[in-house]
Amino acid sequence: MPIRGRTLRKAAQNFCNHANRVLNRTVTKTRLLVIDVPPRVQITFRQGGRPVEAKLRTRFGPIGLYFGQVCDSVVGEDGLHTLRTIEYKYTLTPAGADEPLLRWEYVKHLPPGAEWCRHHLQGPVDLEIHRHSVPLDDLHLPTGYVTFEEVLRFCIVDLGVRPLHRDWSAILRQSYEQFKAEFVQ
Amino acid sequence: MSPLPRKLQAAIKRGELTQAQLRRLITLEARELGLSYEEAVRRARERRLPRNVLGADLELLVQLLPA
Repeated sequence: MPIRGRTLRKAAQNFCNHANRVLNRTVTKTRLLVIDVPPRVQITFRQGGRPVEAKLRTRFGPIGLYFGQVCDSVVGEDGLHTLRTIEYKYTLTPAGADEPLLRWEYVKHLPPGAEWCRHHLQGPVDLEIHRHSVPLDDLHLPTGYVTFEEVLRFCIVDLGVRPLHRDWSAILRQSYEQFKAEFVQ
Repeated sequence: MSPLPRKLQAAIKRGELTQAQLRRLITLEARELGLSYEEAVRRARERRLPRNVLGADLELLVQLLPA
């Protein structure tokens, strides 16, 4: 599964096709689309051109999964483009809630003056620290790079989303291993 | 949410947007949040947009604009 291509668009489409195959065999038939605006691309769930969430049925009730990435590419000596993530957002929002319960985010280029962890988890969850109640939204809890496969595994194992294929665990593991071997450089 | 203009939908379906089409898409999504294009871009760069699907999408779309 090359995450490279002769152009940025082709590399992004390779990743998008792969992610759709994984998504469609694990938690949702909703499909990701690439929007190419050189020198960057965006990859998200869209329907009718509008951004949408994938609707998941969990043991706690309906939850929306948002998947969004912005990538650019670096061109190797062989002329092939290798995708590079500029930003990702994976969020889980209970139906009817105003904002996500959990947001995994990565920002390659921090806003001016910001020094928080670029890979972080946030959400409207209060943490009790001594006498203080601190919203997780006010912190940037470090996570390391979170792959979409790990988020899908969380949805199935912890939230009880019924997998769409009996081999879902192997599908996620193989995709994750491919990602680590071929995408992260 | 109101539907997007057909030409813009078709461009998104093809997966290729010009900078003008990208600005149009940002303008339309910003309008749904009650924001102007300029305000949406500024708030996206400051990471102060609403934490919903449109806010998330706008934040990523703004990353596609020239620096």
